[in-house]
Amino acid sequence: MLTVNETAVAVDVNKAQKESIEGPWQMAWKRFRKNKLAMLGGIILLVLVFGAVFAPVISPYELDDMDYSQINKAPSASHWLGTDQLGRDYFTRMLHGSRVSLQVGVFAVLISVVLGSLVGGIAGYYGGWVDNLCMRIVEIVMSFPFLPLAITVSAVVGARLPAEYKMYITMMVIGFLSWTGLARMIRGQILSLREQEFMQAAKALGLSDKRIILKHLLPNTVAYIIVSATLGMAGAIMTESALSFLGLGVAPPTPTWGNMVQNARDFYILTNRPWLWVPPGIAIFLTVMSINLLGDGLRDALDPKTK
Amino acid sequence: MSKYILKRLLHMIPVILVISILIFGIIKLAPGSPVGTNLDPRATPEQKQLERTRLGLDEPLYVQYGLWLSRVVQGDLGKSFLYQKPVKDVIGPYLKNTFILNIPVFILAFGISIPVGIHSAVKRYSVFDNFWTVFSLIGISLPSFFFGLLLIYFFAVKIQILPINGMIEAGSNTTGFAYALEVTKHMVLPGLVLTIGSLASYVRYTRNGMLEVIHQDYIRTARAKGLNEKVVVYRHGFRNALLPIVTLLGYSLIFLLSGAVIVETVFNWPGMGRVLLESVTMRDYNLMMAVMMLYAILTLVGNLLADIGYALVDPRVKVD
Amino acid sequence: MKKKITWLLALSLVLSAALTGCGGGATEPAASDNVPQENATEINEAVEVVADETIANPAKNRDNAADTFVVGMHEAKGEFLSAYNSTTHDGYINKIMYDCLITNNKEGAPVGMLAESFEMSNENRTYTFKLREDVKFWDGTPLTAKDVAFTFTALADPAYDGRYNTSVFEMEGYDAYNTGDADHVSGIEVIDEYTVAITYVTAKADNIWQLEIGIMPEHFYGFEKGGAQKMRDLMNANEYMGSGRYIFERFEPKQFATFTANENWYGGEVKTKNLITKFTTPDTQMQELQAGTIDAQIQVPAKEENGIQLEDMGFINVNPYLANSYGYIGFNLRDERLEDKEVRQALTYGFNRNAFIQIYYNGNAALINTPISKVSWAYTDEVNSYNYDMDKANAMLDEAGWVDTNGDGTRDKNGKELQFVWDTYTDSRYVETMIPMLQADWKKIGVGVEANLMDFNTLVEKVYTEQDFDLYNMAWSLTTDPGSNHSTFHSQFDEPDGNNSVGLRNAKIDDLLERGSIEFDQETRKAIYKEFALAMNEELPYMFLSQGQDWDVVNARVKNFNVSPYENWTWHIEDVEVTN
Repeated sequence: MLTVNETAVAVDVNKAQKESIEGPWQMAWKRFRKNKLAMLGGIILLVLVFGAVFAPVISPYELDDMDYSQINKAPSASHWLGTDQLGRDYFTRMLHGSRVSLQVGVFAVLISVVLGSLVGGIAGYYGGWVDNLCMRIVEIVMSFPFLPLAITVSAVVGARLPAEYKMYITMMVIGFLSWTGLARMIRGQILSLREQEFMQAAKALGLSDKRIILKHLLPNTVAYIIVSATLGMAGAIMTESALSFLGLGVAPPTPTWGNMVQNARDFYILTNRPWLWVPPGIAIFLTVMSINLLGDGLRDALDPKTK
Repeated sequence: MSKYILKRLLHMIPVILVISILIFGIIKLAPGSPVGTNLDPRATPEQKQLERTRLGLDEPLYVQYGLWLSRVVQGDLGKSFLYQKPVKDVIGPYLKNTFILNIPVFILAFGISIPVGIHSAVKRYSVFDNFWTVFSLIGISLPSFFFGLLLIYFFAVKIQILPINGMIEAGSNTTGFAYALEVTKHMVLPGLVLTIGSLASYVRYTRNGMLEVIHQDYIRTARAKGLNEKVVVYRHGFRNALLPIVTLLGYSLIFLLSGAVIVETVFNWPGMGRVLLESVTMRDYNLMMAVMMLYAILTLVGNLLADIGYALVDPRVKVD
Repeated sequence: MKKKITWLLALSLVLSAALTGCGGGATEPAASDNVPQENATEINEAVEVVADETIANPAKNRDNAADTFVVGMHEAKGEFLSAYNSTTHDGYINKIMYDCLITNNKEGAPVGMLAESFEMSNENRTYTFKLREDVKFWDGTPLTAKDVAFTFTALADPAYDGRYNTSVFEMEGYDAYNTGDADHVSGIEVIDEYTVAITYVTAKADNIWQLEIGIMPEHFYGFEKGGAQKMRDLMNANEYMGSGRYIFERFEPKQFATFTANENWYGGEVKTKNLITKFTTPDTQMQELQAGTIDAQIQVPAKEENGIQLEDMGFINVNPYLANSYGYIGFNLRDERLEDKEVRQALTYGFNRNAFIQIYYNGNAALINTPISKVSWAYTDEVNSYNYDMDKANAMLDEAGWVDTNGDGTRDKNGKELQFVWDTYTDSRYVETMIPMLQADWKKIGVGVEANLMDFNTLVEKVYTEQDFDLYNMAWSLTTDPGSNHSTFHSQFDEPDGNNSVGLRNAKIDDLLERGSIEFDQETRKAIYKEFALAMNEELPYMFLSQGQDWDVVNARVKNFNVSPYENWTWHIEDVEVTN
């Protein structure tokens, strides 16, 4: 029969086994939560996403409802952000505009993350001439003047596709031109990871190259990828708005924040109808800012060195 | 070192060729030609066809490319269809204008961001650091076109102390000092937008670079040794933080000459960015190719300079 | 940390509040003004902006105000020579630097300029001009018949690559000179020092207008056959020699050009000593007028916002007149859905063009239904106005056999849907405003339309070279003579790169156009073009949209700035005076 002491020890051991060991992800999450600014960024972003997803439900007006008796009105109780030259409710257009901006941001970044990881991973892992070739490709893509390419692609493809698809073209152009930074960083990471012991173990086990890259190396770079993706999204949204402002991205009547700010190129509107161009500008600013805050917070949380 | 530079330069040549082929191909893919909008509506189809043949637009693509390439290596950048002048003559003045706008920006941005970045990293979480962190966060999140419009609204329209746009007033015959003053006045707003944008990201970059260095063990050792803080920071820390800064300098070179399309458009500044936009919209092939290749070469040169600088600063980096 | 958050939030809130609140000083028009008038066809006279001479006028305080007239206009490329100016804007400047044989008067009829008189002979194929004897170029050299001959011969030169060979390629002897060995063009004949005769192969009523080219001096530009490049080289070097009212001084690309008055101009005194053409954009025009950095701005878009701003300035006079151009939507007549004119008429009845004019132009434009300018002598009022009538449109489409058989909202027939793609161009508020309106109106008659935007260059190629489109929109500028409709609507020009992009092949219209070109009797011509206007109004190869207004806007200190539909600001520039 167990003595009281032995029972106590048995119970203690059980309790010890139930306590979980804090993994690196949990540690990172805890650090992240302490960063008030980053949390703020995250919250703002969530609000914006919510607004974008539920846009049709939130606003009582349809995107295309034209009310000829309410043209060019300043903000009021019935039209929170006033109306444009066709009597369409501007607040509704802002909400729908966020959809385009956010979508372009997300998809462009997805494309660039996939491309960057693959190229960087392959280059770093194989080294030698593969590495050389990959880096030459990176150099070529990096040297491509971005704006002229965007303009030209806009013109080439724009003629053959209806307006809605313009958005996808913009996504692809941005995505295909912005993966180089990530590729270089991942390559650098992998070069240093290559020499570590777990790699030798994997090789000894006879794992295939593909498996090693995808299942063992890349996951170790995930922290960098996440941070890069977040910050990349901010950049993509800025770029899309700039392109639309210049008339090279998504064109009206589809609203995006960039082409809504474009209204201000008309001097009269710049001076007398600020509700048409200031809110979309601020919206872009808030979105990008919140993503940057989030990204910074993630980086601080995931990278122990900067403590 | 010179062998390294030579080797890199040689490596650049095939890259430049490939880029030129790609750019040429993409441009030619775009439908539309300069002939369409530039002729008299009364022009007959025969005339338009004649014009196309004269411009060599009928030849197969590789022939057109070959012709372009052979001219370029002889130094002839071709004739601009839009301006009906040699491309060199067209680009010259715009290059100058972009240069004028960007040099002060470059100097200011780096001149301010490097000391600020270092100080921020050293005195982390101080008021100074917090201010600059917020500043740079806002700076990189604010779209440049929006910022430019806001500035115009406040300083040129509401309080009319600065000109709205352009580089000089029309019909102005000012020369010498008066001319310089006029240009400077027009440069303030666009310069401000460009400087703040660059400053914001450079400060972040420098600060991060310095932070990485400052937490290294050897810095702790230096302090433990009892070295003067200034020596620790500037002799040991900074020298190592120079690496990313030098890289940044190299990459930023391209902006000296490439012009920011957005800022130039918002402020009507007659620079390279505008020329590029115009040449693409109007399908002025010779002009487009010349400008795009200029950008591409600048980027490559910038990379090269960054790498050289890297090698110079860090003795560990072997150039082979 | 907390402080940082509140500061950030506060900043953004303050920014948005401050800027949304500042509504500016202008008043918005009352709501009722914006409800479209269903049947307005007249120009809305609401724009009567007359300057108040008594208020402060910033233009008067400009440094050069006393003797300089600054005109704001669209950027010119710098090709001011008669042989090469390829844009309307360079054309304006060419007009003030050079003189032509003839010009037109207020009604659009040809009158002599350098020519004291002219006669027609040889079955109206030959024009003989008797030149004035008192004209001198800026360097004092007299202008004589040999300069006239030189000017037109230069355009026929084999090495000439400008667009004005259209002026000479129907002259007698052109081919022999341009592609053959002839040493001069036989149709250009110098009879004596001040008399020159020009002969065309076919007599056409608008041949006379081909001769409206600024005369270039032979002693300055002259070259041997094949040396036309010399003219371009001189132009690129900004070296000019003309006889016109203003002498070229300086050209700053993208910025401005400056001129001084020609004191020896044959036509009399040029009142204002210095002229500057400043290149503005729609974005900058208003600010420049406001600040007084320009004294006038031509072709201000006739938009409501501009009208309000101009009125508010107080020291501005607005001269509105009907522009000599019209906007339209082209139907591709080769498409089987559009080949039936009933369908085209129904589509026109189904779009409320008046509402668009009211909304975009605030009524400052005229509805048109035929390609003849309302101010032309050839205009007739008897055309069908196709006023918006949704019911009629529906009925017509029903009758033409287009019914929605598959319940998808658009009508169809024989498996084809009335779902169109409308090719148009980017960067235009005009287009952006029209797209939703057209889509909404046509939806109500069971027709679908998708807008496909591309840059202008691409659009031109798609429409004119490839002729691959359903619908597109553009505008035509009109010349003083309705004969220009020939190259736009005659079946002969339905070919790749031809102007007849829509593919109109109508025998009756062809016949009318041909007869109109060669008829010289004014009354008979009038009758022919009236029939043409009615036929076009019936056939409707285009949906004609509107004829806009042009506003030439002038600071109160400018006197005698006289413009009319056929006489732009360069016509009487010598009379313009500036006061202080």
